[in-house]
Amino acid sequence: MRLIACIIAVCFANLLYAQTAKEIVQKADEKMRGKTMQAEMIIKTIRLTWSREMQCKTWMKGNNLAMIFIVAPAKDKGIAFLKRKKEVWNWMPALERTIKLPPSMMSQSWMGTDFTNDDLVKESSVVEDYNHTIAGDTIIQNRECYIIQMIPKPEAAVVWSKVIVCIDKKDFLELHSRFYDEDGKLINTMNSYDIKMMHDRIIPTRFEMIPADKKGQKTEMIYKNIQYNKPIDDGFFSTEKIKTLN
Amino acid sequence: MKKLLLICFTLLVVLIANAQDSTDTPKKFTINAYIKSLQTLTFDKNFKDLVSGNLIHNRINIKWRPSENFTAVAEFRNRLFWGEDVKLTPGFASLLRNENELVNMQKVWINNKALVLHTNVERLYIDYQHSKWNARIGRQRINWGITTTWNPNDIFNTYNFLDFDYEERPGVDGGKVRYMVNSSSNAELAYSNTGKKDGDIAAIKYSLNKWNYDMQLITGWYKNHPTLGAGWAGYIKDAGFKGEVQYFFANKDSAEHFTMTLEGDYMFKKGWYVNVGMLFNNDGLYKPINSWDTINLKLSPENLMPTKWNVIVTTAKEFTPLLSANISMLYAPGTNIFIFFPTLQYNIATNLDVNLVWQSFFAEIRNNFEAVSHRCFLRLKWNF
Repeated sequence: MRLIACIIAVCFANLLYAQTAKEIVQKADEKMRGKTMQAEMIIKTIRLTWSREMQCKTWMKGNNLAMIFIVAPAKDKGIAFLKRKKEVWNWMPALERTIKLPPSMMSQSWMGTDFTNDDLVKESSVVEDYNHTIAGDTIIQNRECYIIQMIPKPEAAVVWSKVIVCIDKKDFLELHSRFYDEDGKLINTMNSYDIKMMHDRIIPTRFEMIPADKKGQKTEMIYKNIQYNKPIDDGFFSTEKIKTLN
Repeated sequence: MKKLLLICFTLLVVLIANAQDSTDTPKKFTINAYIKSLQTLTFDKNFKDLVSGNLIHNRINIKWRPSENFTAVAEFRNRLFWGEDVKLTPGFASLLRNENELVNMQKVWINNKALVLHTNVERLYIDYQHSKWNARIGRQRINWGITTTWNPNDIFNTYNFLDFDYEERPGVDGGKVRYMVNSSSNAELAYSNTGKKDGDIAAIKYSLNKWNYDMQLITGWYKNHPTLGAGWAGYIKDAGFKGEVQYFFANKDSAEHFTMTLEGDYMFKKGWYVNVGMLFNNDGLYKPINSWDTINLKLSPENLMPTKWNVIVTTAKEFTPLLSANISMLYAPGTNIFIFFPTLQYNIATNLDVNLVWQSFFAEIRNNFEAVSHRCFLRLKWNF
């Protein structure tokens, strides 16, 4: 009888723990993304012998609606991407045309950076598409962090087999993440720096994505400006609107 | 004509001057431009004869947006050609005119034996947006195409997919009005006047997004032919699936025309992109030819390819963020025409790109499958 009680207690505790892990990820995700988010950012692609810089504006609402508009360099200015649920369109200003992209494009590099399309427009939900467990604690940048293991749910369309995230216990900031492929091999590491007050909250403002097997290679994403929870109408995320962004 | 160009250039100067002054309202004026240098080598089938061509190509795009609702656009294309290409082509300068444009807004500044300087006003329109309505009048491109290589639905301003150096593609003189029914559907009425007898085109397009597909239906009047068309873009599993069909009814002067294109694309792991397309042109050639000259490369909505059945496979790969390549191969059964079209692109500096492009043409001529010609292009492009 006592054994059964013990087992139940352990299961219950595990269940509680599991919920907490999900809640932690959810809090970190909500903090970073808000209900809606508008941002201006710089993306730097860095290699051993060269680097390139791009500036863009983004709009996001939940997991289903996102838009990216490239401001610089001149040769790419005006190129825009729209995501609505599973559909993605690319506006090419020189052609004056929207091109619908195949879903298989989502897991691939975005504009030559180490970020995938999915990283930028967040098709998959870190909360809904994964099962979360707390795997331990650590200290990053003098902040105490939870280590959380995220395994994608079988039905989720996620390219990773496992993601490890380290989330600050006090402010719920995702400071470090590791992404593993189907064979369990480490593919990308993401670190977050420059924790600052942006609009109404404290968040990291510089992220670096480092591919595991490529020396001297990384992509940095720096937020220059973010506005949270400013209402954006769903109709804003339309193929008509991407033609008129500036 | 001179007067018109003078006005355009004065406007340009005023706009540039204004743009520099308006630092506090930077969005009001936007100007972007590029300069390209294109070297062309045209070889005969055995690489024994060679004709070279040189082109400096400049484009200036100006947008003035004094309010949220109103936009004015002027775009200029300046080209300086010189070399053997010019020398050996009779009437070179006269071939530069876009036949679909009603108003002659081109100017040949220099036209001698081996050098031609040509300017064309490529776009000149005003655009007005009010709640669900949008109207655009002037020289513009009416882009109704959906697929990548061939666009049967592009009934106003066909382009040639081999003309890779003309990214913006040609425009027409006309107008269009669009009404947004809701955020996922709209209706557009467009009209263009080519200035030729029976050359008017007028059509309505209804577009909607449903079941993860962009769809469009077109009906109208194409140069005295009633026409019907449809197009779509969606996906099957993770692969893109697009298509366009266009039917031109017969009239007293010419028979019916039917063109159709289907296309699928997929991004494989490690960034390998593959696009497969086919085009059917009911009026196209389907038997071996006696001479390459019988191939009518004057493309139009009814004649997107001179051949009946056409298959194109394109594969693209980004080796590094700076270096990418793509290879297109086109095959037309019956005539056994084969086009091999590889491209290399390298980004030298932020706004400076170099392209190496090759085009080889082969065909079955008098029962003999042979090369027709080869072209090699080296292009440097600087955006600013």
